[in-house]
Amino acid sequence: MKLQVRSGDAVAGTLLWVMAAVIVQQSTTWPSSGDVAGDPTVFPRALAAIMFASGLALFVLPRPPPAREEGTGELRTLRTLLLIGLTMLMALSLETVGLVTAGIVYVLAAQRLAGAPWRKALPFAIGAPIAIWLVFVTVLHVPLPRGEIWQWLFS
Amino acid sequence: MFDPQLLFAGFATIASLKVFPFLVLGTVMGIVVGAIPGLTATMAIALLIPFTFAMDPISGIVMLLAIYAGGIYGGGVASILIRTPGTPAAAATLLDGYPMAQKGEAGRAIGIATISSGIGGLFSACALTLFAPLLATVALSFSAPEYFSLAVFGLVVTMSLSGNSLLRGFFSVLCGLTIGMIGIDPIGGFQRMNFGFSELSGGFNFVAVMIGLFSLSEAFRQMEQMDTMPPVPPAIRNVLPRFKEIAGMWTVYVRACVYGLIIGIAPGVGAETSSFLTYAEVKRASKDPSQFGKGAPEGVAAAQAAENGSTGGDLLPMLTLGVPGDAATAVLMGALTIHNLQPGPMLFQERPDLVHQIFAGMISANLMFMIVGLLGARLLAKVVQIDRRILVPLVCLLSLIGAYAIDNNPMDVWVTLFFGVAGWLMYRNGFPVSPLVLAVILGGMMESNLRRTLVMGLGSPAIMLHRPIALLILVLAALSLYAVIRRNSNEARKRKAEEAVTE
Repeated sequence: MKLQVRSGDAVAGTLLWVMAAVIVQQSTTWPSSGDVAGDPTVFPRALAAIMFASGLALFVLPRPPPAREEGTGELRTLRTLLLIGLTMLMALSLETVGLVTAGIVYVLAAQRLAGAPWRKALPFAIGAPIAIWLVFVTVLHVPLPRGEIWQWLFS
Repeated sequence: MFDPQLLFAGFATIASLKVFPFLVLGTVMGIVVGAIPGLTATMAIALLIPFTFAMDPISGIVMLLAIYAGGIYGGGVASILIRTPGTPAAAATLLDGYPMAQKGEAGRAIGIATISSGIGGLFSACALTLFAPLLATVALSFSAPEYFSLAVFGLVVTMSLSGNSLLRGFFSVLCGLTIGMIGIDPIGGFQRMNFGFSELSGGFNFVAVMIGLFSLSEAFRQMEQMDTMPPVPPAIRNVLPRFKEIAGMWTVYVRACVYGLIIGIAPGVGAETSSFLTYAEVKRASKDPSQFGKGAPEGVAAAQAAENGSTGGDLLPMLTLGVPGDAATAVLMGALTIHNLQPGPMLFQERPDLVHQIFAGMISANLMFMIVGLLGARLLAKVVQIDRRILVPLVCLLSLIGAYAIDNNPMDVWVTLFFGVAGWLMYRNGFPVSPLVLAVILGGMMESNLRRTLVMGLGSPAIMLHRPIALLILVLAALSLYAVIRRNSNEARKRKAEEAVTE
């Protein structure tokens, strides 16, 4: 196991610097200590200073590699990225087409992406969103998106 | 103070038709989710919080406690049957549980695991019932400096004990503290760091953040490792262990219960650490340590009793001080705040009835998973075989719907998605997620109490020197940090020496 600075650590270090800069910039717009009990900038600016130093340490100090499990090859990562893309589409379409329709399409696509056969995937893809709808809306009385498109069509 | 009458009244509430079905439902869901490899108790709580929104507080809390206790126990079942821990905490159960199953004793191993988890869980729930009111009474005398020190201690220990790099743990803490600052200044009440988005005026919704970090990110992670199907588990027979066998392991249980409770109380560590430490200690103290790892029932008993033995300890600082012991209790704390209950010493003053109902709920949850576990052992063999290709997309869907259901706000769906991706990326690069969550919770407490401390000290932090409890907690935090830095540097030196020998 070799100690070295890794790209993930370098990205994290950069992120800390960016966050530190944002905190310092934002804190200049806050009310002064005279208006608010205790100086509201003390904690955030101290945090920003620590972040800056930690970001530097992430660049400079070598660390052991992450304890990663098997199965993070390129193809499998691509599969996860596709699932994230699908999830974004689901989030975008949730209000427009409604939970049941978006859910059925999303679950079916994600299950097929995972490698599930049609005969197994289809019943769950149809059943799960309907079951979730029934539990939340009918039993728990928690409203979920019906879908603007359906409301427009049936109004 | 602990009030037996209130506790009995709590049991009566738990036994009522309004609460009892949720206790059973929570136990079953917890065991099922815990038994499925890759799905953790923390994930189960985060995922199922939205189902409790419409319930009255005690029904929802009891269901979540049952999921927690059942989930921790359920992880051991998959360890025994298919040599894959259902939860990270159950990895120690695997060491002797799987060899027992290979010898045709899967049923016996599950029986011992169930009873042992129950013993550990019941002990820790009773300890919680007795000690929590005492600690809450002490905590009433705490002021801003003590709470600031507690928050620092919690974060230092959490980041020290998670992952293989202190700096990566610290990165997670810093991210969590920054996320916790978004929204409203805790004392001045003015808007800060919302970047013009009105949706962020109250900060990120904590439940949406937790669902993303613990549930959606786990589903993304599972998607990468889905090529292998779980092996077929062996047949389960003779689940109910003999009383003589259980009674013969009393020394194991004493060790497991004490270790579990103490480790559970320490911030940042929970079932995972307690099960491994207890297993090692029981093995060391055994008359025949060579049997461990080859199917010793004591090994299964030690690991499982310690796992559930830590649950009460984990809940203790969360309920009494508002400082969660680990990720699972951090999520539970989020659930309590959703039901307008703020954990801390004031909860014991204002709602002693509810606190005792929680104690009764925790004791009942531990009894319930023993009953369900023993009766449903054969069905658990089917649960561990559930096809993850079907399950993972359903977890994703439930995460999104759960996030939406918090406030019927599409923004929360995006927050969950953002933190789901962030959690997945953090995992891939070796950054622990738990310190981030604890920092989001403790950040507000840390900042507001630091500012109050400075006001008390007329701008000088030297006031800490005149507060012995606060100072002691800070010294303990510094010592634990020093111990971890020293351990890490020793390990690095050892690694270098090994590499030099290899070359």
